[in-house]
Amino acid sequence: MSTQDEELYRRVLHKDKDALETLYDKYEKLLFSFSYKMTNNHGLSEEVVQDVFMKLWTQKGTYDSSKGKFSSWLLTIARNAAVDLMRKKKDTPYELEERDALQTNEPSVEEMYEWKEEATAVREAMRVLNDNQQRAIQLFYFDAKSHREIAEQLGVPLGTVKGRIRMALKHLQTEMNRREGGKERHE
Amino acid sequence: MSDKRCDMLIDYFNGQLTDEEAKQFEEHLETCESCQAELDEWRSLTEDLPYLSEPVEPDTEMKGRVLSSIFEEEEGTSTDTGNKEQTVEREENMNEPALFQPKKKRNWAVWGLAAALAASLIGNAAFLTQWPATTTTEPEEEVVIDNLEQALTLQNPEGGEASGRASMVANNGEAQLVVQAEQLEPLSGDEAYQVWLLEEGQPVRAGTFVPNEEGTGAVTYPMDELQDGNWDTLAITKEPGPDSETPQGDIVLAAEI
Repeated sequence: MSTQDEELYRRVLHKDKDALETLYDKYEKLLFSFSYKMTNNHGLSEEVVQDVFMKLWTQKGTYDSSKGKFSSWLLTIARNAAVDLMRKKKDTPYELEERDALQTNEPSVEEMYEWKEEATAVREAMRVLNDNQQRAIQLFYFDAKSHREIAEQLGVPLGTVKGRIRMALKHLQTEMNRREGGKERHE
Repeated sequence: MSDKRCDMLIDYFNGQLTDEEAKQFEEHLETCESCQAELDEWRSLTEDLPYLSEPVEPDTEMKGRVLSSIFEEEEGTSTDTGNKEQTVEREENMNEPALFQPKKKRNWAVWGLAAALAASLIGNAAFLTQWPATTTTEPEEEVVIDNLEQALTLQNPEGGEASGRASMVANNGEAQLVVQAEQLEPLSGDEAYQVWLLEEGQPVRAGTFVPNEEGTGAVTYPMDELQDGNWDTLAITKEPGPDSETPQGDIVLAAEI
């Protein structure tokens, strides 16, 4: 799967519109859903997706396969774009939407195979974490809150926030590894 | 290692720092191994988290809006697609420990570059016609044409077939550096051409491109990505990969600004 992405990426570097469209089709829903989880807003989520593919097309970023999966790279760009947009919109509050509004319960599209597999592993692992660890991850990663806000919301001293985040993430990783056992990661 | 600045790591990762603070932190990051390690660790430990997102269906017309706006922008015009607030482009590079770099404020000092280019480029008007300035109050759906601010001719200092042009273009108030080149040597493997702006020999990246089979290539780069600089030279080098932080290869094209 990764070699296919890399080939498409290479074609995008040569300004192949079909290749960009193929990548778009493959990752639109994952990127949109992730952006929505962060921003809670459809309009902002669309802006994030647009930003990601614009960067890809105009070659603002460079993907290096030795540094990780292509999908992870796209998701990192998406998170940065979402964080950016949320910061920009902070002063002019945007409308928070009903979370369930457009949610679907059928992620059973073929190209979402990878997503489903990842999702099962990470969801199960997440369930093992205690409430505080889950909240730490939500506040830190998805809400992208400030150091101070995270401390306040977790009710812990500023100096311990980093350690708590690290503990929560490590715990999650350990659980995921345990579930995957010796199984090869599919990428 | 218990530098006070290490405490800024979370706010850096989450885009909560002012530009000034982020700059300070990046200086710190360059020398602080523990912050670098922590950022790397966060990156790898959070890699799977996006998959926790519940599937949300984008509306069916989103694809058309997004792709057409990308391709139109590339062709030098942009129509209003409803996403008026384009996010400012910034470099995304997995080699850099920085996961988040706050946007630079639009940097009007870069227009100094435009002015400097103007001084050196009289007589180079053949390349592009100068459009009259468009007003900023465009009605919706109206096509906004880029304004060419300045252009400059690129040559190989050693002589050779390759040639190119660099121009400064304003589109919707965003300054873009547009670089085009022809008759470039073909690349192999991961090689790429990179554009640099230099100030007294200090290079700053300003775009990467891979030419087509005819050896023609182009790249645009948003000027507000760049910090203040009194650029004196623009150069294109052939690099072993698309993400060199400093030029590794030979200069294939250059121009004094």
